[in-house]
Amino acid sequence: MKTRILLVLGGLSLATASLLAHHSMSAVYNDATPVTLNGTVSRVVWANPHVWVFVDAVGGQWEVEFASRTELKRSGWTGESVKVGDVVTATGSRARDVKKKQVHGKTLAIAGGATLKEATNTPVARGKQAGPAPRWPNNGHVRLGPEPGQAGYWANPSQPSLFESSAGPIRMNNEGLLANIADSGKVAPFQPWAKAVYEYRQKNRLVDDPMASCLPPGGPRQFQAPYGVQFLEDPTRPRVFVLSRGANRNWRNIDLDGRTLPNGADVTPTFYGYSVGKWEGDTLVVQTVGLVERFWFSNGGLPHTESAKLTERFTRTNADTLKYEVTIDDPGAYTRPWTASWELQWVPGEDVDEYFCDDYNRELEHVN
Amino acid sequence: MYLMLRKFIHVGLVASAMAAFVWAQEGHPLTGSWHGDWGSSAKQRTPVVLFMKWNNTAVEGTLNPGKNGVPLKNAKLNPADWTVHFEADTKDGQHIVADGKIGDLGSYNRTITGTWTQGTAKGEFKVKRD
Repeated sequence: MKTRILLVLGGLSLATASLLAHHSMSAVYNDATPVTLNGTVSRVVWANPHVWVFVDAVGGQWEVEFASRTELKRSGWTGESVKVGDVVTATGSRARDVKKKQVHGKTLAIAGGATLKEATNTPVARGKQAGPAPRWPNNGHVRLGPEPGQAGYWANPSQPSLFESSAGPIRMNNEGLLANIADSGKVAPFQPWAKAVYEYRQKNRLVDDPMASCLPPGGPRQFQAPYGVQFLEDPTRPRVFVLSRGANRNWRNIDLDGRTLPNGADVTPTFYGYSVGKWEGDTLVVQTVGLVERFWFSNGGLPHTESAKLTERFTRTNADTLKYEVTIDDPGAYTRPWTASWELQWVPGEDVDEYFCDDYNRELEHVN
Repeated sequence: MYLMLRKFIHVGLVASAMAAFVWAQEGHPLTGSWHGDWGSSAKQRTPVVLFMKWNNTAVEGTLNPGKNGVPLKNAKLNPADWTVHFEADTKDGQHIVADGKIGDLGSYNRTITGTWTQGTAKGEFKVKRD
Protein backbone atom coordinates (compact mmCIF):
# COMPACT_ATOMS: atom_id res chain seq x y z
CA MET A 1 0.00 0.00 0.00
CA LYS A 2 1.53 3.21 -1.14
CA THR A 3 1.17 5.91 1.41
CA ARG A 4 2.00 9.52 1.24
CA ILE A 5 1.64 12.55 3.35
CA LEU A 6 1.08 16.06 2.21
CA LEU A 7 1.79 18.82 4.66
CA VAL A 8 0.49 22.13 3.50
CA LEU A 9 1.98 24.77 5.72
CA GLY A 10 0.09 27.75 4.48
CA GLY A 11 -2.26 29.04 1.87
CA LEU A 12 -4.80 26.29 2.23
CA SER A 13 -7.54 27.47 4.50
CA LEU A 14 -9.55 24.85 6.27
CA ALA A 15 -12.71 25.73 8.08
CA THR A 16 -11.26 26.85 11.37
CA ALA A 17 -14.33 26.83 13.52
CA SER A 18 -12.98 24.70 16.33
CA LEU A 19 -15.46 22.46 17.93
CA LEU A 20 -16.28 23.11 21.50
CA ALA A 21 -14.37 20.46 23.32
CA HIS A 22 -13.57 19.57 26.87
CA HIS A 23 -10.17 21.13 26.30
CA SER A 24 -8.98 23.97 24.10
CA MET A 25 -8.18 22.63 20.64
CA SER A 26 -6.40 25.91 19.94
CA ALA A 27 -3.99 25.17 22.76
CA VAL A 28 -2.93 21.89 21.19
CA TYR A 29 -3.43 22.38 17.44
CA ASN A 30 -2.57 25.11 14.98
CA ASP A 31 -5.22 25.80 12.36
CA ALA A 32 -2.59 27.63 10.32
CA THR A 33 -0.85 24.32 9.58
CA PRO A 34 -3.39 22.17 7.76
CA VAL A 35 -2.46 18.57 7.11
CA THR A 36 -3.61 15.89 4.68
CA LEU A 37 -2.72 12.32 5.56
CA ASN A 38 -3.07 9.36 3.21
CA GLY A 39 -2.62 6.01 4.87
CA THR A 40 -4.10 2.97 6.52
CA VAL A 41 -6.02 2.87 9.77
CA SER A 42 -4.12 0.85 12.39
CA ARG A 43 -6.22 1.56 15.48
CA VAL A 44 -9.55 3.17 16.37
CA VAL A 45 -10.51 4.40 19.85
CA TRP A 46 -14.24 5.11 19.85
CA ALA A 47 -14.36 6.89 23.19
CA ASN A 48 -14.95 10.12 25.06
CA PRO A 49 -13.82 12.82 25.48
CA HIS A 50 -12.41 12.45 21.96
CA VAL A 51 -12.39 9.80 19.27
CA TRP A 52 -8.93 8.87 18.00
CA VAL A 53 -8.08 7.28 14.66
CA PHE A 54 -4.50 6.10 14.25
CA VAL A 55 -3.23 6.20 10.67
CA ASP A 56 -0.04 4.58 9.38
CA ALA A 57 1.33 7.00 6.81
CA VAL A 58 4.64 8.45 5.78
CA GLY A 59 6.71 9.06 8.87
CA GLY A 60 5.03 6.36 10.95
CA GLN A 61 1.82 6.23 12.95
CA TRP A 62 -0.16 9.49 13.06
CA GLU A 63 -2.72 10.13 15.77
CA VAL A 64 -5.84 11.89 14.52
CA GLU A 65 -8.06 13.36 17.23
CA PHE A 66 -11.70 14.05 16.44
CA ALA A 67 -14.57 15.40 18.53
CA SER A 68 -16.30 13.36 21.19
CA ARG A 69 -18.19 10.20 20.42
CA THR A 70 -21.29 12.13 21.43
CA GLU A 71 -20.76 14.77 18.76
CA LEU A 72 -19.60 12.42 16.02
CA LYS A 73 -22.74 10.35 16.42
CA ARG A 74 -24.69 13.45 15.50
CA SER A 75 -22.69 13.67 12.29
CA GLY A 76 -23.58 10.09 11.43
CA TRP A 77 -20.52 8.29 12.74
CA THR A 78 -20.83 5.00 14.56
CA GLY A 79 -18.29 2.81 16.26
CA GLU A 80 -18.19 0.81 13.02
CA SER A 81 -17.70 3.71 10.63
CA VAL A 82 -13.93 3.33 10.56
CA LYS A 83 -12.16 0.00 10.83
CA VAL A 84 -8.59 -1.14 11.17
CA GLY A 85 -7.25 -1.68 7.65
CA ASP A 86 -9.36 1.03 6.00
CA VAL A 87 -7.44 3.13 3.51
CA VAL A 88 -8.23 6.73 4.37
CA THR A 89 -7.47 10.35 3.67
CA ALA A 90 -7.62 12.49 6.78
CA THR A 91 -7.53 16.27 6.82
CA GLY A 92 -7.02 18.47 9.83
CA SER A 93 -4.67 20.72 11.73
CA ARG A 94 -1.26 19.71 12.98
CA ALA A 95 -0.26 19.79 16.64
CA ARG A 96 1.63 22.89 17.73
CA ASP A 97 4.26 20.54 19.08
CA VAL A 98 5.59 19.43 15.71
CA LYS A 99 7.61 16.66 17.34
CA LYS A 100 4.30 14.88 17.72
CA LYS A 101 2.67 13.18 14.79
CA GLN A 102 -0.71 14.37 15.96
CA VAL A 103 -3.58 15.98 14.06
CA HIS A 104 -6.94 17.50 14.94
CA GLY A 105 -9.08 15.74 12.37
CA LYS A 106 -11.71 17.61 10.36
CA THR A 107 -12.60 15.00 7.72
CA LEU A 108 -11.89 11.34 7.15
CA ALA A 109 -12.50 9.95 3.66
CA ILE A 110 -12.59 6.16 3.45
CA ALA A 111 -11.45 4.77 0.10
CA GLY A 112 -14.50 3.55 -1.77
CA GLY A 113 -16.75 4.70 1.05
CA ALA A 114 -18.07 7.67 2.89
CA THR A 115 -16.39 10.89 3.87
CA LEU A 116 -16.91 11.46 7.57
CA LYS A 117 -16.83 14.97 8.95
CA GLU A 118 -16.37 16.25 12.43
CA ALA A 119 -19.58 17.56 13.93
CA THR A 120 -20.21 21.25 14.10
CA ASN A 121 -22.24 23.21 16.56
CA THR A 122 -24.53 24.45 13.87
CA PRO A 123 -27.93 24.88 15.48
CA VAL A 124 -30.44 22.23 14.70
CA ALA A 125 -32.71 23.38 11.90
CA ARG A 126 -36.20 24.28 13.01
CA GLY A 127 -38.88 22.93 10.76
CA LYS A 128 -41.39 25.57 11.72
CA GLN A 129 -41.89 28.37 14.15
CA ALA A 130 -41.46 27.15 17.69
CA GLY A 131 -44.60 26.52 19.67
CA PRO A 132 -45.30 27.78 23.17
CA ALA A 133 -43.29 26.51 26.10
CA PRO A 134 -44.85 23.33 27.52
CA ARG A 135 -46.27 23.50 31.04
CA TRP A 136 -46.85 21.23 34.00
CA PRO A 137 -50.54 20.36 34.34
CA ASN A 138 -50.69 20.65 38.13
CA ASN A 139 -49.24 24.11 38.76
CA GLY A 140 -48.92 25.64 35.30
CA HIS A 141 -45.19 26.22 35.60
CA VAL A 142 -43.18 26.08 32.44
CA ARG A 143 -41.44 22.75 31.90
CA LEU A 144 -37.68 23.06 31.64
CA GLY A 145 -37.24 19.51 30.42
CA PRO A 146 -38.97 17.38 27.81
CA GLU A 147 -42.66 16.65 27.77
CA PRO A 148 -43.79 13.17 28.83
CA GLY A 149 -42.81 10.54 26.29
CA GLN A 150 -40.44 12.86 24.48
CA ALA A 151 -36.70 13.44 24.53
CA GLY A 152 -34.54 16.51 24.15
CA TYR A 153 -32.04 18.74 25.89
CA TRP A 154 -30.58 22.25 25.73
CA ALA A 155 -27.45 23.09 23.74
CA ASN A 156 -25.95 25.45 21.18
CA PRO A 157 -25.48 28.54 23.37
CA SER A 158 -25.84 31.77 21.40
CA GLN A 159 -22.48 32.99 22.66
CA PRO A 160 -19.41 30.91 23.44
CA SER A 161 -18.26 32.54 26.62
CA LEU A 162 -19.20 34.86 29.42
CA PHE A 163 -19.02 38.62 28.96
CA GLU A 164 -20.95 41.54 30.33
CA SER A 165 -24.14 42.08 28.35
CA SER A 166 -23.77 45.87 28.35
CA ALA A 167 -20.42 45.55 26.58
CA GLY A 168 -22.17 44.50 23.38
CA PRO A 169 -20.77 41.80 21.11
CA ILE A 170 -17.14 40.91 21.71
CA ARG A 171 -15.41 38.92 19.01
CA MET A 172 -14.12 35.57 20.23
CA ASN A 173 -13.97 32.05 18.88
CA ASN A 174 -16.14 29.30 20.25
CA GLU A 175 -13.52 28.34 22.80
CA GLY A 176 -13.86 31.84 24.28
CA LEU A 177 -10.53 33.09 22.89
CA LEU A 178 -10.72 36.81 22.17
CA ALA A 179 -10.03 37.93 18.61
CA ASN A 180 -8.33 40.96 20.15
CA ILE A 181 -6.80 40.68 23.60
CA ALA A 182 -7.25 44.44 23.97
CA ASP A 183 -10.96 43.70 24.40
CA SER A 184 -10.32 41.95 27.71
CA GLY A 185 -11.30 45.03 29.69
CA LYS A 186 -14.78 44.93 28.11
CA VAL A 187 -15.45 41.36 29.18
CA ALA A 188 -16.10 42.07 32.85
CA PRO A 189 -15.37 44.69 35.55
CA PHE A 190 -12.25 42.88 36.70
CA GLN A 191 -10.16 43.57 39.73
CA PRO A 192 -6.58 44.08 38.45
CA TRP A 193 -5.37 40.62 39.48
CA ALA A 194 -8.39 38.93 37.88
CA LYS A 195 -7.89 40.78 34.59
CA ALA A 196 -4.22 39.80 34.56
CA VAL A 197 -5.09 36.14 35.22
CA TYR A 198 -7.73 36.21 32.47
CA GLU A 199 -5.26 37.71 29.98
CA TYR A 200 -2.60 35.18 30.99
CA ARG A 201 -4.97 32.31 30.28
CA GLN A 202 -6.00 33.86 26.96
CA LYS A 203 -2.40 34.37 25.85
CA ASN A 204 -1.69 30.74 26.71
CA ARG A 205 -4.67 29.59 24.62
CA LEU A 206 -6.44 28.19 27.68
CA VAL A 207 -3.92 25.38 27.98
CA ASP A 208 -4.31 25.13 31.76
CA ASP A 209 -8.09 24.68 31.66
CA PRO A 210 -9.16 22.40 34.55
CA MET A 211 -11.90 20.95 32.33
CA ALA A 212 -9.15 19.27 30.31
CA SER A 213 -8.55 17.11 33.36
CA CYS A 214 -12.28 16.33 33.51
CA LEU A 215 -13.23 18.67 36.35
CA PRO A 216 -16.87 19.79 36.09
CA PRO A 217 -17.94 23.07 34.43
CA GLY A 218 -19.38 24.86 37.43
CA GLY A 219 -21.16 28.21 37.57
CA PRO A 220 -22.36 29.82 34.35
CA ARG A 221 -19.97 27.66 32.34
CA GLN A 222 -22.40 24.79 32.77
CA PHE A 223 -24.61 26.48 30.19
CA GLN A 224 -21.85 27.02 27.65
CA ALA A 225 -20.04 23.72 28.10
CA PRO A 226 -19.86 21.18 25.30
CA TYR A 227 -22.81 18.95 24.53
CA GLY A 228 -25.45 20.86 26.47
CA VAL A 229 -27.51 20.34 29.59
CA GLN A 230 -30.69 18.58 30.59
CA PHE A 231 -33.18 19.65 33.27
CA LEU A 232 -34.82 16.97 35.34
CA GLU A 233 -37.63 18.39 37.47
CA ASP A 234 -38.60 16.53 40.62
CA PRO A 235 -41.92 17.98 41.80
CA THR A 236 -42.13 15.67 44.81
CA ARG A 237 -39.36 17.37 46.82
CA PRO A 238 -39.41 19.83 44.94
CA ARG A 239 -36.09 20.41 43.19
CA VAL A 240 -34.46 20.56 39.78
CA PHE A 241 -31.45 18.55 38.67
CA VAL A 242 -29.30 20.07 35.95
CA LEU A 243 -27.46 17.30 34.15
CA SER A 244 -24.26 18.35 32.40
CA ARG A 245 -24.11 16.30 29.23
CA GLY A 246 -20.36 16.68 28.86
CA ALA A 247 -19.29 16.40 32.46
CA ASN A 248 -19.00 12.81 33.56
CA ARG A 249 -22.74 12.37 34.06
CA ASN A 250 -22.70 14.58 37.11
CA TRP A 251 -25.50 16.88 38.15
CA ARG A 252 -26.29 20.08 39.92
CA ASN A 253 -29.09 20.30 42.47
CA ILE A 254 -31.41 23.31 42.77
CA ASP A 255 -33.79 23.18 45.74
CA LEU A 256 -37.22 24.72 45.24
CA ASP A 257 -38.67 23.82 48.65
CA GLY A 258 -38.59 27.33 50.06
CA ARG A 259 -35.43 26.93 52.10
CA THR A 260 -33.31 29.97 52.82
CA LEU A 261 -30.06 30.53 50.97
CA PRO A 262 -27.25 30.00 53.49
CA ASN A 263 -24.37 32.37 54.01
CA GLY A 264 -21.69 31.44 51.49
CA ALA A 265 -19.03 31.31 54.18
CA ASP A 266 -21.03 28.59 55.96
CA VAL A 267 -21.12 26.29 52.94
CA THR A 268 -18.40 23.81 52.03
CA PRO A 269 -17.46 25.00 48.54
CA THR A 270 -18.27 22.66 45.65
CA PHE A 271 -18.17 22.83 41.86
CA TYR A 272 -21.87 23.56 41.48
CA GLY A 273 -22.37 25.24 44.83
CA TYR A 274 -25.51 25.46 46.94
CA SER A 275 -28.49 26.58 44.87
CA VAL A 276 -31.95 27.69 45.94
CA GLY A 277 -34.62 28.61 43.40
CA LYS A 278 -38.15 29.91 43.10
CA TRP A 279 -40.52 30.68 40.28
CA GLU A 280 -41.25 34.31 39.46
CA GLY A 281 -43.94 34.05 36.78
CA ASP A 282 -42.43 32.02 33.96
CA THR A 283 -38.87 32.55 35.15
CA LEU A 284 -37.00 30.27 37.52
CA VAL A 285 -34.78 32.48 39.65
CA VAL A 286 -31.86 30.67 41.29
CA GLN A 287 -29.34 31.95 43.79
CA THR A 288 -26.09 30.10 44.38
CA VAL A 289 -23.26 30.39 46.89
CA GLY A 290 -20.47 28.07 47.95
CA LEU A 291 -18.59 27.70 44.66
CA VAL A 292 -15.13 26.22 44.95
CA GLU A 293 -12.32 28.03 43.10
CA ARG A 294 -11.02 24.90 41.40
CA PHE A 295 -12.69 25.51 38.05
CA TRP A 296 -12.82 28.27 35.45
CA PHE A 297 -15.96 30.33 35.41
CA SER A 298 -16.17 30.40 31.63
CA ASN A 299 -14.76 28.83 28.49
CA GLY A 300 -12.47 31.83 28.03
CA GLY A 301 -10.85 31.49 31.47
CA LEU A 302 -12.63 33.98 33.70
CA PRO A 303 -11.54 33.61 37.33
CA HIS A 304 -13.74 33.75 40.40
CA THR A 305 -13.37 33.43 44.15
CA GLU A 306 -15.27 31.64 46.88
CA SER A 307 -17.00 34.95 47.65
CA ALA A 308 -19.03 34.59 44.46
CA LYS A 309 -22.81 34.71 44.62
CA LEU A 310 -24.80 34.02 41.47
CA THR A 311 -28.33 35.00 40.60
CA GLU A 312 -29.50 33.07 37.55
CA ARG A 313 -32.75 33.52 35.66
CA PHE A 314 -34.04 30.72 33.42
CA THR A 315 -36.88 31.63 31.06
CA ARG A 316 -38.18 29.21 28.46
CA THR A 317 -39.55 31.79 26.07
CA ASN A 318 -40.95 29.15 23.72
CA ALA A 319 -40.65 25.40 23.17
CA ASP A 320 -37.23 25.75 21.52
CA THR A 321 -35.59 28.63 23.37
CA LEU A 322 -34.23 29.00 26.89
CA LYS A 323 -33.02 32.42 27.90
CA TYR A 324 -30.28 32.29 30.53
CA GLU A 325 -29.22 35.34 32.49
CA VAL A 326 -26.67 35.41 35.28
CA THR A 327 -25.65 38.21 37.62
CA ILE A 328 -22.26 37.66 39.19
CA ASP A 329 -21.56 39.27 42.53
CA ASP A 330 -17.99 38.37 43.37
CA PRO A 331 -16.19 41.15 45.24
CA GLY A 332 -13.07 38.98 45.32
CA ALA A 333 -12.56 39.12 41.57
CA TYR A 334 -14.79 41.92 40.22
CA THR A 335 -15.31 45.53 41.20
CA ARG A 336 -19.12 45.39 41.02
CA PRO A 337 -21.93 42.94 40.23
CA TRP A 338 -22.36 42.35 36.50
CA THR A 339 -24.75 40.51 34.22
CA ALA A 340 -24.44 38.32 31.17
CA SER A 341 -27.10 36.49 29.18
CA TRP A 342 -27.50 34.19 26.23
CA GLU A 343 -29.91 31.68 24.79
CA LEU A 344 -29.83 27.91 24.55
CA GLN A 345 -31.59 25.93 21.87
CA TRP A 346 -33.78 22.88 22.37
CA VAL A 347 -32.38 19.80 20.64
CA PRO A 348 -35.43 17.60 20.11
CA GLY A 349 -35.53 13.84 19.95
CA GLU A 350 -32.14 13.15 21.54
CA ASP A 351 -31.44 12.06 25.06
CA VAL A 352 -28.44 12.63 27.27
CA ASP A 353 -25.74 10.15 26.33
CA GLU A 354 -23.38 8.44 28.66
CA TYR A 355 -20.24 10.57 28.72
CA PHE A 356 -17.19 9.98 30.84
CA CYS A 357 -14.44 12.47 30.18
CA ASP A 358 -11.81 10.22 31.69
CA ASP A 359 -12.73 7.26 29.50
CA TYR A 360 -9.77 7.93 27.21
CA ASN A 361 -8.39 11.28 28.30
CA ARG A 362 -5.01 11.98 26.77
CA GLU A 363 -5.08 15.68 27.61
CA LEU A 364 -3.76 15.43 31.16
CA GLU A 365 -0.27 16.14 29.83
CA HIS A 366 -1.50 19.57 28.71
CA VAL A 367 -2.81 20.51 32.13
CA ASN A 368 0.19 20.82 34.37
CA MET B 1 -9.37 -8.71 59.99
CA TYR B 2 -10.07 -5.73 62.19
CA LEU B 3 -6.47 -4.52 61.79
CA MET B 4 -6.68 -4.93 58.02
CA LEU B 5 -9.92 -2.95 57.95
CA ARG B 6 -8.41 -0.24 60.16
CA LYS B 7 -5.34 -0.07 57.90
CA PHE B 8 -7.55 0.13 54.84
CA ILE B 9 -9.56 2.99 56.35
CA HIS B 10 -6.37 4.75 57.41
CA VAL B 11 -4.91 4.48 53.89
CA GLY B 12 -8.18 5.71 52.45
CA LEU B 13 -8.25 8.72 54.73
CA VAL B 14 -4.65 9.59 53.89
CA ALA B 15 -5.37 9.21 50.18
CA SER B 16 -8.43 11.43 50.52
CA ALA B 17 -6.41 14.07 52.31
CA MET B 18 -3.69 13.88 49.67
CA ALA B 19 -6.27 14.24 46.92
CA ALA B 20 -7.54 17.42 48.53
CA PHE B 21 -4.09 18.92 48.22
CA VAL B 22 -3.35 17.79 44.68
CA TRP B 23 -5.73 20.36 43.22
CA ALA B 24 -5.02 23.82 44.51
CA GLN B 25 -7.17 26.88 44.15
CA GLU B 26 -7.76 28.57 40.79
CA GLY B 27 -8.87 31.95 42.17
CA HIS B 28 -6.40 34.54 43.40
CA PRO B 29 -2.88 33.41 42.42
CA LEU B 30 -1.49 33.68 45.96
CA THR B 31 -4.30 31.89 47.77
CA GLY B 32 -3.15 28.57 49.18
CA SER B 33 -0.33 26.87 51.08
CA TRP B 34 3.26 27.15 49.93
CA HIS B 35 6.30 25.13 50.98
CA GLY B 36 9.99 25.85 50.37
CA ASP B 37 13.04 27.33 52.02
CA TRP B 38 15.33 30.33 52.20
CA GLY B 39 19.03 30.78 52.85
CA SER B 40 22.22 32.48 51.85
CA SER B 41 23.71 29.40 50.19
CA ALA B 42 22.71 26.01 48.87
CA LYS B 43 23.89 24.37 52.11
CA GLN B 44 22.34 26.79 54.59
CA ARG B 45 18.61 26.47 54.11
CA THR B 46 15.72 27.16 56.46
CA PRO B 47 12.31 25.64 55.74
CA VAL B 48 9.51 28.08 54.96
CA VAL B 49 5.78 27.45 55.02
CA LEU B 50 3.42 30.18 53.83
CA PHE B 51 -0.34 30.28 54.00
CA MET B 52 -1.92 33.11 52.04
CA LYS B 53 -5.50 34.07 51.30
CA TRP B 54 -7.09 36.87 49.30
CA ASN B 55 -9.79 38.50 51.44
CA ASN B 56 -11.33 40.39 48.48
CA THR B 57 -9.25 43.51 49.10
CA ALA B 58 -5.86 42.38 50.41
CA VAL B 59 -3.63 39.35 50.84
CA GLU B 60 -3.47 38.06 54.41
CA GLY B 61 -1.66 35.07 55.75
CA THR B 62 0.72 33.38 58.13
CA LEU B 63 4.41 32.56 57.95
CA ASN B 64 5.18 29.11 59.34
CA PRO B 65 1.70 28.31 60.68
CA GLY B 66 1.79 26.60 64.07
CA LYS B 67 3.45 27.43 67.35
CA ASN B 68 5.99 29.72 65.65
CA GLY B 69 3.53 31.19 63.19
CA VAL B 70 3.49 34.93 62.68
CA PRO B 71 1.16 37.03 60.53
CA LEU B 72 2.24 38.36 57.16
CA LYS B 73 2.39 42.12 56.83
CA ASN B 74 2.15 44.29 53.73
CA ALA B 75 1.58 41.25 51.53
CA LYS B 76 1.05 42.44 47.98
CA LEU B 77 0.80 41.06 44.46
CA ASN B 78 1.54 43.26 41.47
CA PRO B 79 -0.38 41.64 38.60
CA ALA B 80 1.44 43.78 36.04
CA ASP B 81 4.58 41.68 36.44
CA TRP B 82 3.48 39.04 39.00
CA THR B 83 5.89 40.30 41.65
CA VAL B 84 5.13 39.54 45.28
CA HIS B 85 6.14 41.39 48.43
CA PHE B 86 5.53 40.50 52.05
CA GLU B 87 6.98 41.18 55.46
CA ALA B 88 6.76 39.56 58.87
CA ASP B 89 8.27 39.82 62.34
CA THR B 90 9.47 36.62 63.94
CA LYS B 91 8.72 35.91 67.58
CA ASP B 92 12.32 36.70 68.49
CA GLY B 93 12.04 40.12 66.91
CA GLN B 94 13.66 39.69 63.52
CA HIS B 95 12.07 41.60 60.69
CA ILE B 96 11.61 39.68 57.45
CA VAL B 97 11.27 41.28 54.03
CA ALA B 98 10.68 39.07 50.99
CA ASP B 99 10.44 40.19 47.38
CA GLY B 100 9.82 37.59 44.72
CA LYS B 101 8.09 36.75 41.49
CA ILE B 102 5.52 34.13 40.61
CA GLY B 103 6.74 31.51 38.16
CA ASP B 104 4.67 29.07 36.11
CA LEU B 105 1.49 30.98 36.93
CA GLY B 106 -0.79 28.61 35.06
CA SER B 107 0.34 25.59 37.02
CA TYR B 108 -1.36 24.37 40.16
CA ASN B 109 2.12 24.07 41.66
CA ARG B 110 3.32 27.54 40.74
CA THR B 111 6.36 29.00 42.49
CA ILE B 112 7.60 32.21 44.05
CA THR B 113 11.33 32.94 43.96
CA GLY B 114 13.17 36.02 45.14
CA THR B 115 15.22 37.68 47.85
CA TRP B 116 14.76 37.17 51.59
CA THR B 117 16.10 39.44 54.31
CA GLN B 118 15.79 38.35 57.93
CA GLY B 119 17.38 40.67 60.46
CA THR B 120 20.87 41.26 59.11
CA ALA B 121 20.96 38.03 57.09
CA LYS B 122 20.25 38.08 53.40
CA GLY B 123 19.54 35.28 51.00
CA GLU B 124 17.12 33.98 48.42
CA PHE B 125 13.97 31.92 48.77
CA LYS B 126 11.81 29.63 46.72
CA VAL B 127 8.39 28.27 47.64
CA LYS B 128 6.04 26.07 45.66
CA ARG B 129 2.29 26.01 46.10
CA ASP B 130 0.92 22.74 47.39
